[in-house]
Amino acid sequence: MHELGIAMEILTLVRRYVPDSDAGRVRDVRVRIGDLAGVVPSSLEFCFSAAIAGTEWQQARMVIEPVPAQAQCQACGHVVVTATPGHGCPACGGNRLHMITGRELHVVSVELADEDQSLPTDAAAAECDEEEAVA
Amino acid sequence: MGVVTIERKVLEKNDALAEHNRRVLSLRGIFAINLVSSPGAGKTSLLERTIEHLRDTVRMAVVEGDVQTDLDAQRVAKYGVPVVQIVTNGGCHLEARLVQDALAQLDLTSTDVLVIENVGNLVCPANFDLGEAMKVVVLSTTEGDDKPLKYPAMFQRASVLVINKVDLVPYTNADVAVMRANALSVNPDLTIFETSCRTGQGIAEWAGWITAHARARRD
Repeated sequence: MHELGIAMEILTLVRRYVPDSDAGRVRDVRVRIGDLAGVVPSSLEFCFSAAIAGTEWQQARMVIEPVPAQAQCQACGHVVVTATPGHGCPACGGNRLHMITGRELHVVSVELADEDQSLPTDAAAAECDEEEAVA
Repeated sequence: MGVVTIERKVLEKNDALAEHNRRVLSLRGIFAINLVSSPGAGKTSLLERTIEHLRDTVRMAVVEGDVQTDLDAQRVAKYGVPVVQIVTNGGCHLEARLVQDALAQLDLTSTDVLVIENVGNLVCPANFDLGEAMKVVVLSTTEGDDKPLKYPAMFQRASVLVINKVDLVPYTNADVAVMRANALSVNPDLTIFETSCRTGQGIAEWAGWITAHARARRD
């Protein structure tokens, strides 16, 4: 439900590292999302593409690296991969599982094409695409 | 092809603002809770009963978050408690910036306990730190005893669970013992209260817990 806001935050973060003048070179925007981060990957991809449509960033592609939820038993140290932390430790039956991964919500990196592969990014091109989309 | 490494948390801006709110509240010795639940679990009713119980001993202030209307702020204002309504206009959760703006409208020098009542939603508010000391999740018996397993993130991040509407248990299939066990399996550190806002059951224990935390902050 809140994926659009998160997509906008991702774009804001990326723009702090890549100036708008290089937007046409942006290819993959890599993000890392834990299974328990409370974010639906397909919804985030959809919202990101909606957020950049008609802008100089529109050819960017979100690439999501999923992170499995892992928990460690506080009693025996066993590490278990689990999306449902309600089940106890399969090794010793202990009920204190400490989440070690699965809540990640990070922007990892941006891949930039070489300058000669830059796509047109001027406002006219974006406007033209918008008209085509409307038509 | 070049790679620009970013490696930043997506919500770092919210986290930084939340930390700022936490510092402001902490400097004033204010105990702040973030009250979360699905819609209709009884957050506002619990708040009303809590205010009734504490108004002579604890100075409370309230921030109300709703998608639309100031109905909840009106309910709280009747008790003479300072209240600021945040209308999110469709937003499914409160964010630290909204709370920061609300705090600016409250007199924090005469507040012991701040209750931030979040938008009714058992999913999205889990991700957004507001600067509270702890999250309190309200779960009503009519929602079913399986909810801690189905919405684990909220129960994992909460410190307290209030099981509300216990007076309705005879009319539901919910088993409070199962609800407790499910919640503790997701988060063994939860402190659990059982309340009914209609009969008043459990309100004194819950209000006493708030008072103890408020005193610990002030001293």
